[in-house]
This record gives sequence, C-alpha cells and structure tokens, in this order.
Amino acid sequence: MAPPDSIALAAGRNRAVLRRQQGDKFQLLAAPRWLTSALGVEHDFPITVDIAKQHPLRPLFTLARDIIACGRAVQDYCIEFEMENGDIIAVLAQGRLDGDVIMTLEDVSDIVRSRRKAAAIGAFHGIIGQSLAMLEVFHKIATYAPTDAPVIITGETGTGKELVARALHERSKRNRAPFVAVNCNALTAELFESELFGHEKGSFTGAMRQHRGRFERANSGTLFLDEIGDMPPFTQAKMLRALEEGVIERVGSEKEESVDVRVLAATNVALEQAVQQRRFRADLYHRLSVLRIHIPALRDRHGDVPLLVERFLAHFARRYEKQVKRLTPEAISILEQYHWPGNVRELRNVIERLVIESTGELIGARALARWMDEREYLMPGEWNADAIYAPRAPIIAPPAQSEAATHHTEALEALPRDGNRFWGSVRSNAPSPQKYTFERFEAPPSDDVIEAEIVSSPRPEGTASPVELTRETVEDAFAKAGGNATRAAARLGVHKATLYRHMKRLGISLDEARGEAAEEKS
Amino acid sequence: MSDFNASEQELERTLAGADGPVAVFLSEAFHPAVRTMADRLQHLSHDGKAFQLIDVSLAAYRAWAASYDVYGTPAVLFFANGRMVGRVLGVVEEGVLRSSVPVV
Repeated sequence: MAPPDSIALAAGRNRAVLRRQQGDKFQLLAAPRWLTSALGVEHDFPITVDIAKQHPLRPLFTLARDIIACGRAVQDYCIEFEMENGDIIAVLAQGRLDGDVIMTLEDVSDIVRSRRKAAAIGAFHGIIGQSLAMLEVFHKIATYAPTDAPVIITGETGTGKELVARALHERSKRNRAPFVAVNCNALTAELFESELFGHEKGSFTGAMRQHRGRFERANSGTLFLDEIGDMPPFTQAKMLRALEEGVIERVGSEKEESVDVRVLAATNVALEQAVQQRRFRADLYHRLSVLRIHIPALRDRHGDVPLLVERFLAHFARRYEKQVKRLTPEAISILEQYHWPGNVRELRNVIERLVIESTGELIGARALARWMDEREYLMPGEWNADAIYAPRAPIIAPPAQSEAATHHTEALEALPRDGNRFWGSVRSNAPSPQKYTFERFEAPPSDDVIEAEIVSSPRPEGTASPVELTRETVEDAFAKAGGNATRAAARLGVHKATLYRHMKRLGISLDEARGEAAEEKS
Repeated sequence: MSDFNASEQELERTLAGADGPVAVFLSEAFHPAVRTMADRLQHLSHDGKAFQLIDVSLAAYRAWAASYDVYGTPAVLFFANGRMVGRVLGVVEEGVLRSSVPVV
C-alpha cells in the first residue's frame, strides 16, 4: 500500500487514484475535477463506491479492478461513460498498479463524437471514408487542427491532400481568415518567388505594380503548399526564414513584412529521399515535418469504394440529370478489386464517365470492361507524367446515341457469364463476393456496344497498328529506345499500356525486351 | 476478422454455438490503439492460435459489453463454450494476448 502522501503527489490535473477496500468496494481518492463535474459527482474525496451497484464512475472502478486482478498496466484504453441523456463522455486512460491504482486520464469526448459523426455520415469535411485508415486520418485532423504547427500531408496523387489541408484549416481557429493554396509544381522558379512573397513595382521587367504574394494574402490564415518537393532551392531558403521568423521580403523590396501564417504542405514523393539527393533542404524538411498525416491509397481502403461510388453517383446523376441510381454488385466488386493508381480522383472520373454514358437506372460490370482493359498495365506509382504524356491509347468517344450504347440491365443480363474473361491484373487475392473469373473480356461478335465507344487516335506516320505488332517490331523499338518502355511505345505509336498488353500476347517479358536492347547496344 | 452486425442475442448464440474459442474484439476505431490491437489479433489468428475472431462496435453493443463490465475500447473478450474465460483491456503486447487465448 502506498504511503498517504503519495496520493497527493499522484493526484494531478489528469490523475485518478483508486484503492480497493474489501470485496467489491473501492475508494476514489483523487480524480480530475473536469471528470467529476462532467459526471455530476461531488468532488469530495474519498468517494466510496460498491462496484456491484450502479454508479456514474463504475467504468473507472471496473478498470481499476481489472488492473488489480491482472497486476499489470493498461495502456490506451478508452473508457466511455454513458450519461442518462445518452451523451457519451470518453476518457483515454493509462493505468498502473503502484500500491493504489494510478490512472492518467485524458478527455477525448470531442474526438469520439466527431469520429462517430463521421462514421455515421461517412464523410468528414467533404472527405469520404469509413475505413479504419481514414478514421485515423480524421482523428489526426481533429487533433492537429487546433495547433499552429506545420503539417506535412503525404499520399499518392488523387488521394485528397488538399481536402485534408482544407479540413485542417476549417477546424482551426484561423478558419475565418483566408486559406491560400499554391501548387509548387505549377510555377517556374522565377515566378515562384514573386508569387509566394510578392514584388515591388518595377522590381523586374513587367512588374507594373506592387503585388502581394500568397504569404501576405494568407496572413492570419493558412498557406497550403502543394507538391512542396518541387519547390525551387532558392525559394526554400526564403521559406525557411518565413517559417522560423515570421517575416517575408517582397522581391525588390528592402523592407521586411511580418506575417502570421500557418503552413501546411503536401507531397506525393518521399521528401526524405529529396533531402538525401539534396533537392530539398534538410532544415526546411525538419521545420515542416512537425506533424504528419498520411492519406492511404484507395487500394489500401477498398472497403470505402462502395461509399465513394454511392456519393459520386448521386453527385453526377444530379449534375447531368441522369436517372442512374446504382451499380450492380458485380460492378462494385470489380471496382473494389482494382488497384486504383489514380486513387479517388480516378474513381470519381470513372463514375462521371459511367454516369454520362448511362441511360438506365443501373450500371453493370460490362460497362467497366473496356475501361479496365485500358488500365490493365497501369500499376500503382506509374500514374506519372510519362504515362500521361505518352502517345494516347484509343480514347473514349462521346456517348453513342444508339440504343445499343446503354448500360441497361437487359444488356448485362444478355451477356453470357460462363467462361467470360474480364481482365487479369486486378488484385488477385482480394475477396470477391461474386464467384466469377477475372480474365479478359471477350465481347460477343453481335454486340457493338463496346466497339461503338472506341475511336482510334491519329497514329504517327510509319508506326504500327497495335494488331500488327510482332516480336521483331517490339524488340526493335526497345533497342532503339535504349530499353525504355515509354520511349519504345512512343516509337511504335501506342500507349505504354497497349505495348505491355501486346508484349504479354507475344510472350515477351519486360526484362527480356530490355536485355535484348542492352545486347544490341553492346 | 468478421464484422458482426446482428443482434446481441444472435451474438450470444454465435458464441454458444462456436466449436472452439472465440475472441470478441470491441473496436470503436477512434484511436490508433484499436488498430494496433486489431493488427496483433490478426497476426495471432494467423499464427497458429486457433480462434474465431469477431469484431463488434462498442457503440452498437454497449449494453452487451456492459454486461461483461466492458465500457471502453480496445477490449478483447475470450469465450469458450459460450462463457467468457478471459479478457484484455487496452493495448497489450502480443505475448500477453497470446497467453490470454483459452485452450479448448
């Protein structure tokens, strides 16, 4: 048993001390005032409670009983006290046995309430998700928002980094001041400094008037720097000074301006790597990465896909005045199993396309077949500028007006299922509620629905049509492109994904093609 | 891990009718601690410890959890032959979790 004076030492603002009397009787020797007042209990110790009887503090005593029974500490246990009016008071407890049971308690009621609300409606400041990973993101937003510390938001492209930044701003005490976003990738190095810090009239050719930079415009509010890894090196030094000292200097000005700005930054590349390669200043990295929120890729939270689909479907159906109401379970299952290199942005665009093309109330799996086929070889991380700016694969024409070009249930039902092959590169080990094979889709010859959706892109002169690609032409293209697949595809006048598909058909592996190219070079 | 959405009576019936041990994971997911425990339970269930894992939300099964003196998360209740034989509150090391799994 601890000596009596240890109780006074142990009892702090967030401490509770409990002692077992006999049997089910416990004494509360100290507890935080915010807890007793919230539960309507007199703040007059000791409070003796029989654990077998109802008492507002009973959850605390049952935890104390468990700690005594097990003789070991309890970490991170969220006790919920349910009030008579149904409200919940949530307390995060760490407890240990030191003669008495000593507990550290933290009020997390706000976090639990906001999380429950988010789970109930499936959205948090416009960010849709109910998965455990996203609930953690929401929790971090709620925790980090009230502080003024910089936050680095990481995640693949299309995961919603700006939405998270906006949520942080909206929940902060700066929410009445401006939220200013800058894409560090979208401006040249010369323009960047002037855009961020402003310039004086006449400071350079074309500076016809004084210009307030984004930093000044975000004064008292939040500045969001997207793609921070692409910030020019010289600007990084000025940025560090602005963060450290809260002062900026307009281009061409000799006067310093004080600014009060919270900086949020986002990146889809590993900043640590950029620091190692000396493309990003280590001091700025350390200054910015006080807090970090990582947004999971959509393939890591595929359980959120149905919810996202439902929201996007309703949104686009309203926008385009369509009757479409839902996707069939097969279609949803396919979307759940896709690896989503473009993340939520890609899903949103897919749903927009499906809604525009649909004329019925239901969208089936068949409507997705060609779309998936186009993306067969687009793996996570390959959704980059090379892929985007490489010669285009066949593009999707505007929705055909023929009756055949619909996604009606009848059309779907008419499709023979047995032995149909959809596509092969979807998540192979993902659970599928529908027992059908995931192989290449072969449309029946009489069906012109899919063909009606495709038009060919103009092909550069002297390049092969994909159907004419042979082992020799592919190997030759790789050899001339020095083993680079994107450049080889460009030489052949096809999209990289199309090239990969034909390589698979011809039985040529990427390593083999590169090896051939290397041999030819040597 | 299977999410349980049926009634409390149905949950009791499932526990009573189970062939081996069952771990009921109360997982109100507001805190990384819940995820830590979920990962440890998953790991344990794939690591030779044979038990059925059921994930239930504390908010949805509040009265049922209270009948076992559980008022918070993360909490794991171990059942064998329909009776609670052990429980773990808060975050614990995998070793502690492993030793709490009943042998049936």
